[in-house]
Amino acid sequence: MLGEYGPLLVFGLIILSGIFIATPFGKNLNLKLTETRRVLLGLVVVEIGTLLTSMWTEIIHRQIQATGGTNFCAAEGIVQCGSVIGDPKYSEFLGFSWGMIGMISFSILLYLGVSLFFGPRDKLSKLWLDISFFISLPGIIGVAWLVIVELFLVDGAPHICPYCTAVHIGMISVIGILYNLRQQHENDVWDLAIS
Amino acid sequence: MKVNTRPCRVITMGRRRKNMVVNTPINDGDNRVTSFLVTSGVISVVAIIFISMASNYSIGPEEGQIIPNLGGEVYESGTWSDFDLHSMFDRDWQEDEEGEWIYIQILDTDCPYCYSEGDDMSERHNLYNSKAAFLSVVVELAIPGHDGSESEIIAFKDKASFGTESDDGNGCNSGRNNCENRPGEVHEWGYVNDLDMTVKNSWDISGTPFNILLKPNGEVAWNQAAHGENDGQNIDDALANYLGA
Repeated sequence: MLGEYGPLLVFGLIILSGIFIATPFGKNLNLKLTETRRVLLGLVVVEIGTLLTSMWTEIIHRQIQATGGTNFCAAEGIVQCGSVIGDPKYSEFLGFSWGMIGMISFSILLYLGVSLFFGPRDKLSKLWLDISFFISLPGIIGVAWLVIVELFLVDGAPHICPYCTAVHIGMISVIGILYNLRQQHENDVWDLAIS
Repeated sequence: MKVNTRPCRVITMGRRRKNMVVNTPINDGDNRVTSFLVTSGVISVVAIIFISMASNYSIGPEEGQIIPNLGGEVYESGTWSDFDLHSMFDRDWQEDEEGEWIYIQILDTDCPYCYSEGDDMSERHNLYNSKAAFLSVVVELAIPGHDGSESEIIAFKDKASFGTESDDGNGCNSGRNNCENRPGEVHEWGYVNDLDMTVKNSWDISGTPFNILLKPNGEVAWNQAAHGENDGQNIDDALANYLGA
């Protein structure tokens, strides 16, 4: 029934769930976690959703490269993947497809996020948080560039690639959540247990 | 480092009437192991989905794989136009069917071997142009004196005047020759501008000239890197073998 957008719905729901958990709305879930760990849980969920979406864009990219088309996403119209993920020039960066770059980046971010979630009081937690934040920052440039590519540069522009957009939302959300967590550290309210 | 190092104590939050305990940092190796295992589990699931969904699509420069796409601009019949290698493929082509193969030579207009091979390319084109589409992909090797440009590509292809016959860095063949004196005839096929070296990584190009022969569906039939020193086979043997002498 959902066809080509079924995976997008699943991955999108995971990302949105993570955003919901990490924002103040997540307090309504009454999770038995500290404020910091609730936000960290949201971060991990967003990262899992974005990792899965990046994987899916890589599958679409490979299918287009091998067969010239894809049955995982529309190939025509404004909202489509074919012209964006299948573009011979803009679908790769330094020889790596953007999907693969996303998979590698979010795997690293996920490990750091999970480490923070399970060990927020670990001596290395501040280091993990800083590394996560700084390696995610270039994502802003990447997202900005890919939006420009979608809207102006690909053949037949403008196009909007829904899977790419989901990754962009996930990327920006991760940066926002990490910024919020760093603020908690700065303000000495990191992982305060409620007695 | 803003991690709280004060001893545990209770802070009274007046308005919210909640007591919060300030935590001391600890060195918790168990958490790191748990994190590693959880992350490995998630990544394994992602990898399994990826492999099961993408394993049918083998992309790469090796023989039997579909060549990674190449975009950019191609110079042909006196004009530059957008280029998309994969748009040349006949995806429905089957083995033993008639179809147009694609012969690609990767070259650098300043590479002496590429310069002298201009004549061989003309001969190959005369022999096989009815069976294969010819394509030259121009790269710029990171060697002093190898400064390519659109003008040099045009001059190399069309044997137009560009540079001088003195070794002054201007022209083709590391600036030793005027491009109009390149061996061979004017090349009547497309020259793709890949001076930014996209193919070097995605096609594993080790040097120039480099030859690849594609089947009509884009599958690599013959890659120079897999032959030469291994079996003594060169591109002329491959063309004769696959396209007939």
